[in-house]
Amino acid sequence: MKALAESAQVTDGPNDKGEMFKRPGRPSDRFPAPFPNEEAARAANGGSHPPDLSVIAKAREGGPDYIYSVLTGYKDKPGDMEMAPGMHYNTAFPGHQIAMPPPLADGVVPYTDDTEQTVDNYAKDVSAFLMWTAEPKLEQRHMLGHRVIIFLFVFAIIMFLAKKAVWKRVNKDHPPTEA
Amino acid sequence: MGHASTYEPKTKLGMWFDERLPVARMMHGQFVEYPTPRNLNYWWTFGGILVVCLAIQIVTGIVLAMHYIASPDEAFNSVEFIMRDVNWGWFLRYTHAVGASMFFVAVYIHTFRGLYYGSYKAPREILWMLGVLILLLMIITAFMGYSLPWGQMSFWAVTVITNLFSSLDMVVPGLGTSLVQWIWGGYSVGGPTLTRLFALHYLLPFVIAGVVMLHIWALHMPGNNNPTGIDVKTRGDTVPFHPYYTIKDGFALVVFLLVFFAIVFYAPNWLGHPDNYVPADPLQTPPHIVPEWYFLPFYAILRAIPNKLLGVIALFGAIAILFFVPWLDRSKVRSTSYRPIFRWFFWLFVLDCLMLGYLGAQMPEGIYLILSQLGTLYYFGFFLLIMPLVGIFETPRPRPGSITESVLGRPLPPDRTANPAARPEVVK
Repeated sequence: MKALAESAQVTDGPNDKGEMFKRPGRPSDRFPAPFPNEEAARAANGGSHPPDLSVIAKAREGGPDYIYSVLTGYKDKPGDMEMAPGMHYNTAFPGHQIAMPPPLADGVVPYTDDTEQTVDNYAKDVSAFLMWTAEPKLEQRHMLGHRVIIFLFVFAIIMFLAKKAVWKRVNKDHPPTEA
Repeated sequence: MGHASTYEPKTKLGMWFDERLPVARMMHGQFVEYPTPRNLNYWWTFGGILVVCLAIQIVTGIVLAMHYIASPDEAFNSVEFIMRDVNWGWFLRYTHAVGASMFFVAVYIHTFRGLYYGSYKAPREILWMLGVLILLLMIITAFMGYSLPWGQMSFWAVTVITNLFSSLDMVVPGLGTSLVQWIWGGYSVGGPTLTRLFALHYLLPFVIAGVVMLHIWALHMPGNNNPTGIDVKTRGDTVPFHPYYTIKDGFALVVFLLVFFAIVFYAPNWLGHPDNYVPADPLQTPPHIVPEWYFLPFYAILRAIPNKLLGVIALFGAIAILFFVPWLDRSKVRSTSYRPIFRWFFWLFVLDCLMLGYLGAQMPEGIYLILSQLGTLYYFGFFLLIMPLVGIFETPRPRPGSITESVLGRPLPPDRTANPAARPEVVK
């Protein structure tokens, strides 16, 4: 992850001369924004504001499955549908009109192994990656969860046996008499 | 309260302290010796569970508040900062968020238990009313807490709920609008609204803790109700709180925490709404604004009534009516176990609340709206008509003579225990 971060150049500063400078990225840096401001982003995307994708996998019903469906959902529009200018037909997007042009195409990124370079495989990778950015502590959470649940389960059994043991002597130590 | 203390300090320091501030004597009397009916079932364990819920919320909440920033520009990002960069931040936040839901699960079970066994009836009216007050404070606190991440649902829930007060314009023109602007601290929901919601969200849990103490005090005056609803008559009807109920409550608590943490670790967002991971945008209304699940029945009642002011009155009335339950119920018998007719109405009421919860998440139109209106009608009818009338006309089943008698008897149907001949003397 560190090597990946270093491959990006990040603007930092100002330094003690008051100038901004470029340095290699660190894992704690944010992704460099593709647009300087919201207006530029809208202008480049047919008037729509592209959302921040940091937690997008948690911000949509269906999560990563939804993202996969949008990425693979670009199809030719049904003959009778009126599209707004600059919009693209998408089977998964609400309303079926999305401003984002198809971001993936077969063969645009080579894999290091012989995985097929298809939109389908790319879409799986992108949605898995976005789930990771939305929930980077998920693996840690599950690992700890196993231990906590096993502990509580054993604890519950012990508590149940202790409760049985304590209540076993209730009629002897505290007889339920009418007196 | 209710019994003499046998506390004997064992050390010199203990005796010295006991003469000056007998706090250990009080704790010993109230949480060790405290005579508790020997027949309490597992529905009675939720009181202790609720104390733990409150403690979890306060402890996680205080640490979260050290990292959270209450400002419209920073709130959403500071929550993500907690999730990513604060040590154990994700655990604290998910425990706090799931904890709120589990708190309501427990408080609703606790309330329905009180309703079923008539725990609100004399001499426990104050105890019940303090409980309703705690429920009300919890609702307000949870609502404010939900606003703090400043996501889309946070923002629009605040907008919708605070706007309810504008319905007062229908009574005195201008009053509602002025009130809403006073609550907002401006002409729209914004920074001043967020900071005051945060301040009050931090304050109210301690108010709740105070009322909880009064609630426990009011409980320890008459002592616990029990599944038979019959008063404690002899020492033999009770057992000391410790170890019998500390261990029973403890076991129930561990099972509760098992469910609690299974959700925290494996499905922390299950009870939340995806829209709240979208930062608040005052210019874009979400297509479907819904509150958290624990408010859905009340939300359904609000929307069932076409008139805004009446809807708001029904919403508040749905809570307020609980305060009057001790006087609405005219039955001479506490426990619904011995009330053959009321029992049906009670379970229908539980179903009604579940149905309203489901309807609260649907669009208020067509069949959903009609069902919401029927559900609302039954909700209020249950308290205003069924409770008083069934109490008067119903013939309760015969009850055992005492708690001891009900414990000693084999699990006989209650209608046979009235006949002394059919009752075994001593089992075991």
